[in-house]
Amino acid sequence: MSNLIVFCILLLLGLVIGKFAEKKHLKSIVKREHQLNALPAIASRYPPTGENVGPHQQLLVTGNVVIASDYFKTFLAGLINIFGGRVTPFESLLDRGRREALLRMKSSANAVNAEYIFNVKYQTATIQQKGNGAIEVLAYGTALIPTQQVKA
Amino acid sequence: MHYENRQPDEGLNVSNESPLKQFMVLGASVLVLALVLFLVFSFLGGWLARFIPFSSEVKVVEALSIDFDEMLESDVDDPVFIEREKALNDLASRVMNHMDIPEGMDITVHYVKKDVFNAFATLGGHVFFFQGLIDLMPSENALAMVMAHEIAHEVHRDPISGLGGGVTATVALSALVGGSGPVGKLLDFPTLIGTASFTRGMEKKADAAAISAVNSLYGHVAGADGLFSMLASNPDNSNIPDWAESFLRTHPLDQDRIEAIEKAARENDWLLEGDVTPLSDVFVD
Repeated sequence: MSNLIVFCILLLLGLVIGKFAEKKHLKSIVKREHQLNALPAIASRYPPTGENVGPHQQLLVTGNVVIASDYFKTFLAGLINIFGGRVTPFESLLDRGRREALLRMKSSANAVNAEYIFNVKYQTATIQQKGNGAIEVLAYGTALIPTQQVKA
Repeated sequence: MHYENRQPDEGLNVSNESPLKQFMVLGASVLVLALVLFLVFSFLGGWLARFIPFSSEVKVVEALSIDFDEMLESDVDDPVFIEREKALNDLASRVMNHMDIPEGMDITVHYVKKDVFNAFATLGGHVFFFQGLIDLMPSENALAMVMAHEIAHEVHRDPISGLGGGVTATVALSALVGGSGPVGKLLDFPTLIGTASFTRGMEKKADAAAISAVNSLYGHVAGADGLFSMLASNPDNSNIPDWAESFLRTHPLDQDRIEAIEKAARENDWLLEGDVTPLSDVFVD
């Protein structure tokens, strides 16, 4: 019986606090996405070409986030595993993870006054399989920093 | 060089589904599924367990070497205890003479000097009578009815069937869903084993066998319903509404049991009237 009570409390905490944390995180993500909107992050493997592209220095920029599931999400995902279907509780988790990693990458590119990031890629890894589970999302790409700025 | 990223719309990668609603629907489905499986497995396990020979059941209980008297804190040297346990075993053998006892089945009655309103039959032909129940017995006929009821459980192999069903269902369910998985957390397996008791069907069958034995022993069924009548007229011992009680509890309601006795008597032309034997003085403090 005490097991069941502890389980229900964890579930409720996961639902209430998890939802609150997720909303807060999403709000902050949207805000920072607008702030860093001017810095393009492109998946193309090639740097931009053209007459108005000046000399650039290239730099590897990375953004990394480790994000954990909550008790409620993990339990609900377990239930969905029995019947099949979209594992909806993890969709928002992964979405947040990818966007946060990209934002961190853009922030680090912004810090070195990069104008452009190309060849952007994602990598994910499960780093905690037992318990509630946590994933790492890594976003990386090649930043182009105008050479004049580097000299200055 | 001027580029601008256009922000995609929010929620493209996220399904707009209420997690709480999803949880309710899936959780309820899992519980219903588990309940159905539990019932199926306990029925199958219970049915198979009846094929275990009684001698094997006795051997297993002996191998466990449980000292029932010690477990129930009985003072075996107390002359009152010895006298009452002997009186109960004498009554049991008198009742058994009028029952269809399979060959090789021995019944051992244990007396427990505790103020607990209970009597039960368990594995290996062991039947327990608590003083709290005997205190409320209005006559020997009523006590013989309860005694025959518990012995009938042994004859019908209800204890091993109940345990077999509970264990089968628990093991099968934990193998299917995993004791530590999400469903395992919802179902408290040890508790489920504990709830594996006799079904109402078993109780009704035991009642039917018991009333027949009492009729054969005394030549009538008068007084057999003594305990139930008393309980039915004093319903203050529970706050549960009647309809809920008759649905939830495994023992048939006292009023239902009295009616069942009368019905059996009418159908078999048994006498409802007769001299009721008073309870032996041995049981009175």
